[in-house]
Amino acid sequence: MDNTRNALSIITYPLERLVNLPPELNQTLADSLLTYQNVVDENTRLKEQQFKTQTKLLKLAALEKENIRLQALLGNSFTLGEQLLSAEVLSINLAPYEHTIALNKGSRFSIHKNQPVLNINGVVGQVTRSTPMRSEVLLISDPSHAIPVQINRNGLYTIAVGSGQLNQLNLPYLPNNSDIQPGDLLITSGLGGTFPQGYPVATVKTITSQPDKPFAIITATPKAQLDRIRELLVVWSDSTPIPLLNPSKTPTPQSNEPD
Amino acid sequence: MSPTNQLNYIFYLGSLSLAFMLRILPLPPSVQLIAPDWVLLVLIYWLLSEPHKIGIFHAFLIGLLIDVLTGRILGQHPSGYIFAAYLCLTLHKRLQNIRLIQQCFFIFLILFIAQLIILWTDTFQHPLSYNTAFWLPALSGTLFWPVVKYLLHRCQQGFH
Repeated sequence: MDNTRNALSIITYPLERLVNLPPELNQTLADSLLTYQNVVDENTRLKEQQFKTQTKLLKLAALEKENIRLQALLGNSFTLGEQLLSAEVLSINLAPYEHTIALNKGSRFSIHKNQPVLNINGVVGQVTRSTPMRSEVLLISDPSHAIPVQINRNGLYTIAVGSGQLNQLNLPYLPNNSDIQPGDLLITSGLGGTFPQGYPVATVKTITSQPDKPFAIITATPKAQLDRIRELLVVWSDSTPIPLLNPSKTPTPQSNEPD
Repeated sequence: MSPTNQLNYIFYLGSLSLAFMLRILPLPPSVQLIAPDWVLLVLIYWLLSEPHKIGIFHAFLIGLLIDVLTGRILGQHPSGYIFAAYLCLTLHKRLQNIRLIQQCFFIFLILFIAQLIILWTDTFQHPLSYNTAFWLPALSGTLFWPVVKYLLHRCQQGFH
């Protein structure tokens, strides 16, 4: 069945490219018609940003190594570094009632089902299908999507369910007396195995307790602004557990450089 | 195949490709909810104007391509389109001879039934989450039918 789909997608691919052409062209024009001053300004800004992030990364590498050492001391397994591939959103619409998007890279880049997709702000969704030229991604805001999360402040586990609105997630499984506040950051908990642990998902927006019901009504706003995403990162998480501390063979974390 | 037939064939594929592209064109969500099924409208036009050349198998293939294009389960759109094609082929003699207003009524029924089948097959994938606006594409499709018919008819005459 998947082979049929792959074969037919060769016919539909040119049509998708044609529909995607105007925004692509617009982008190319905007890129090529920049003034010199604009380019200089942007370059200065980017250099500064690069400098800052590079400095932060230096610290991160040290922290990561320390964390792995400590985790190994405790006898826990730890997720090694992830590999990332950047992809762009095709400006095509898949289904009116669902929050799905299409990416311009597919199984030719060995993207496969159930891979997490992020952007620079947070988790966006997961790959539901990949054909040679493109892949389909289900957003975290789709009503049929649920993502296991953890409150960053105190480590409380719960599940964030899509609401059908792009700017809202629901947390339907927390009791009225649970320790949660507006503004709390929700990160992926790593349970379930699809999403690697520790990526930001959403911030808690409103909490309405229902005294007559077991669970409170809690809503959260996704960190990634799902209505204005263009560049995305597809993640290969290599979750090989690290063995107990062995002084002769200290594990080295793989570098997580984007391609 | 005579030259006019060949041109006709190219025009057939061209109009369908255009409809495919309109189908996946990104639109604001509010417009998306009432956007008609352009592919089915164009398909109905061709079924009514060339009922001896274009039949159920075309409807099946086009439906399959739409499934691939929009990421549905393979077979969802074919089932709806085949039913629409069957209705068009059995009714085409009557539809060619009645007034446009009456024709629109039939078109509405055909679009509505096809959409109902596609919506119903959606429940295989996830629980039905339709809202009350689900029948609006059939209505807007009916309103657009005279336009589609007129435009395609004029273009087809231009080719002859």
